[in-house]
Amino acid sequence: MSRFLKISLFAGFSFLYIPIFILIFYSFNASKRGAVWGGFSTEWYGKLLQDQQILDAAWISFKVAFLSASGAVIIGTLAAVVLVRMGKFRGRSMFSGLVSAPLVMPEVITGISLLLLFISFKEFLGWPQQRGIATIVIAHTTFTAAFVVLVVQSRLYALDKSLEEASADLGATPFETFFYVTVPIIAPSLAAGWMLAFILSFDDLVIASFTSGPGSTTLPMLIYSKVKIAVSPDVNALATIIVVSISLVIAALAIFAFKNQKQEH
Amino acid sequence: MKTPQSYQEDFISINNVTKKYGDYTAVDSVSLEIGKGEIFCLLGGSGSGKSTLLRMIAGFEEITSGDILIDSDSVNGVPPNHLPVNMMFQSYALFPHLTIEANVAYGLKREGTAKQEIKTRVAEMLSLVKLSEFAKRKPDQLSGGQRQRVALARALVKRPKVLLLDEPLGALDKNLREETQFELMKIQKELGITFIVVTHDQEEAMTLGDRIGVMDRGRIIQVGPPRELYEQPNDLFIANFLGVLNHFKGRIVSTSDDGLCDIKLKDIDMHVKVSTELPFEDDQPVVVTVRPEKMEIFSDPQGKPGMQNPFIGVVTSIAYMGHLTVYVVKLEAGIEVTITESNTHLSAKADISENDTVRVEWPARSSNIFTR
Amino acid sequence: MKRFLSLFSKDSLGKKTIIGIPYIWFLIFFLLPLFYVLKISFSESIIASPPIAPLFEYDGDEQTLISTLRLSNYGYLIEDNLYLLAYLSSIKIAFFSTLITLLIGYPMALAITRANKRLQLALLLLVMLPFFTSLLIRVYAWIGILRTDGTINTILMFIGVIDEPIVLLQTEFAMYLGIVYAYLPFMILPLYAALEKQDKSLLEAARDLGASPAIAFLTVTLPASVSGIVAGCMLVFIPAVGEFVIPSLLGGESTLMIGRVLWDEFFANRDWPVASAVAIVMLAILIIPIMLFQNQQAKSSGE
Repeated sequence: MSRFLKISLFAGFSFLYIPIFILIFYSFNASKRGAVWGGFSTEWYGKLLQDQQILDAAWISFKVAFLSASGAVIIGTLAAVVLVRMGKFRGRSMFSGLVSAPLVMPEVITGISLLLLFISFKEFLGWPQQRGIATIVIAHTTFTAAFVVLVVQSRLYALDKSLEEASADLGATPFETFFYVTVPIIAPSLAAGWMLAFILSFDDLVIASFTSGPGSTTLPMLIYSKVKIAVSPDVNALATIIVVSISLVIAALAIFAFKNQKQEH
Repeated sequence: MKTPQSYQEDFISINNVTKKYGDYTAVDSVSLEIGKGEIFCLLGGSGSGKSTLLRMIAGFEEITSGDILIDSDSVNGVPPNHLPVNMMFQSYALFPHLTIEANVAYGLKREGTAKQEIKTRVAEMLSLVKLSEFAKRKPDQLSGGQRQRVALARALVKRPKVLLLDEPLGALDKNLREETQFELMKIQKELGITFIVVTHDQEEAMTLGDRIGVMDRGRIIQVGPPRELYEQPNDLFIANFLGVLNHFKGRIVSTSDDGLCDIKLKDIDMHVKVSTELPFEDDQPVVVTVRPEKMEIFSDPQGKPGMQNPFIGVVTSIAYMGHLTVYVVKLEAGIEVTITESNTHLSAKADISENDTVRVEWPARSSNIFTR
Repeated sequence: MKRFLSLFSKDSLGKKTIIGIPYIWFLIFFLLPLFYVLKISFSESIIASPPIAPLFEYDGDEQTLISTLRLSNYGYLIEDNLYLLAYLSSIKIAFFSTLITLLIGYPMALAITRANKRLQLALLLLVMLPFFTSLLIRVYAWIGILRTDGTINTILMFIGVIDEPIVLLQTEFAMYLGIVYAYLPFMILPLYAALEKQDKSLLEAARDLGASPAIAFLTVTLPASVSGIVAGCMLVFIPAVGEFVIPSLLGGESTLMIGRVLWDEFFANRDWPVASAVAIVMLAILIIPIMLFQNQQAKSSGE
């Protein structure tokens, strides 16, 4: 590797990580104001645990993310199967467009459009009477499903088609083939897709803000309302917890995937 | 050496089958009869349509026109899970998440076979392919040869009327192939199941097949037992496909009453003699082919010729290959021929070396003649 | 619609179901909502809940349907300079941020492909981690660094480079910084995917045939990574145009971005029809980049 590439890599990673480390560093700062170091303290972490508002929002975010990720894996896997295994059908190009557009669609547009949909649903179908967890879950399922498609699709392309043919040849119906052969083999990518969807849903501020209702404030919505006012050490502590736990989960998944891959060869 | 058997001649009957992908014709009006208990090899290069034909028999591809009957039942429109055929895939397609035992049991479970019966039949099969002690392993813990046997066991355990084998030995090392070939033939004779084998390897086809169907560009060119195809190919393509050949282009000068043709080669001063039963007209352009092993090489150029086609030449290269030696000899007329001598005796022709002047001979009946 | 219905004519029931479920889901929850935005963008804003007047009203006396369809929301967008400026500045900021992200991301992606396999996985993980970490939190981290009593000003004053804190937050600089920082992983990942596929011996062949490292890069590496460049740039540019969190937290009054305008129109002014019109115009601007991206997706997934 040339010197230039090494330096860019080092500088790039510094850029990506230093802000996060500073954030973590200050979450242990005893001083309440500014960048001045006032001694080591875990006081802010203790305060978090007593803040009912934060705990409530975290619980709502967790529920939303769990349900959205599960829905997204179902919708996304079906969509990936359609794209990879169903060959040509009428409306295919429109379908692949519909499935990949949410990947880049600005969140404000997705948010406002779903809100307007829910409102007209209420008018014509009488549902949802109130926006809340259910509407956020539907919104999150839709945009995170697009990411699940991306993950599962690439795994399906790599899957030896003759495994599914062998199953059919041995007398399995298409359904049996899917549940006894395809799903167990692609299970790791389903888990990865679920995890990705969970994190994306857990992190989302904009779409949740549009589609939530009274009593369904998610954690990012709460954090946003707090940081709009001021930088506060308890938000530093909360952010640290979120960053560290997500990093640990991702690292564990990556190591698991890496070991799996090594076993296959 | 294979003994001729009596087959139920039309156990599998392929009637005028065509497969088109858009404008491309992959299989072009193929008709074949395959007998019960036979090993039938479909031999051809890539794109010859042999795999497409196999996949139509298995139910993986729709038939564009024509009909395939297995034991009098049409496969048209029947999904693969309802056909009495099983397939051994080129990649073996063993389910990586299941043990060997579970792989073999998979098809029986889908049939709803009773648990106890599944157990005994799987055990039987695994012992037939000598893998009983590996039952609890996963496919990635087996060698290539073992995996091939699992694939065989998994396909055979359902007692199919026909077993389809897609390049069954393609993924194996060369020295493992021969052993596996004979193992495969033994198992086939034991169970009496009809095998249809797709291969691009002529040696494999000739060893395995009771009969071979040679395919090219979607058509069947010739069907017959290996010996017939090798010795009396009805087409220059087949002659070429089944092994190395010496070619001589020329025109017929004369034909004697007993069928001995005298042929003047194109552009060079050389005549070859060929005996044939086919009628040829004088001055007809033809190609004469002689297999390298039908030619004989003698170290003594002045010796008395014993065959109809004796020529003098200079050895330009020698390749010693163990069981045989390959000589390339430039004949006086300027044309090069390839000759193989089997190394039956340790000293056979050992005194010939490069640049030696030698005598090359072959009998008139050991060559084939094709119109061009 | 006819095309959609004909989907369900030929194939088996099982196949129809499998295609139908995700298809209908995305039609209802992705495409249909966009049509609602279009519809609302033509209606009038009223003080009610929801604050929109119906497009058609039934007049009981005259027994006719009266259209209240309005183009006024779009007229409003043209009249008020604020919107035009916001669009232009969004496109400008998104464009230059994308360019900067590409310039930083490309050498990083290339460097990762040049590392050995084990290290590659570790480095990729390091790129992925911020990708997975909340955008809100990562942007928030910069507030602590950039504000007047933040890390940078404290350090600079401590060393004595400056006497007065300099204003970093709520500037155009902060916006660029935030967007590049937030979207860098989105650029690196597709670039890496494209570069990694490349046969290493191609570069060696070019060098062997007498190309200098720079020429070999320009003639072999760069052309082969065009798909990654397009995908990466679209993944950054399109969401950046509509970005809300970054302008809201790091940008100032002078650095308007359209995502934030839409948000304020919607939540602060409660003018849903104008917010919808803002969204429709944004979508019209982004339709070409979105199609470019989808083309790239379709190609790279081997269709």
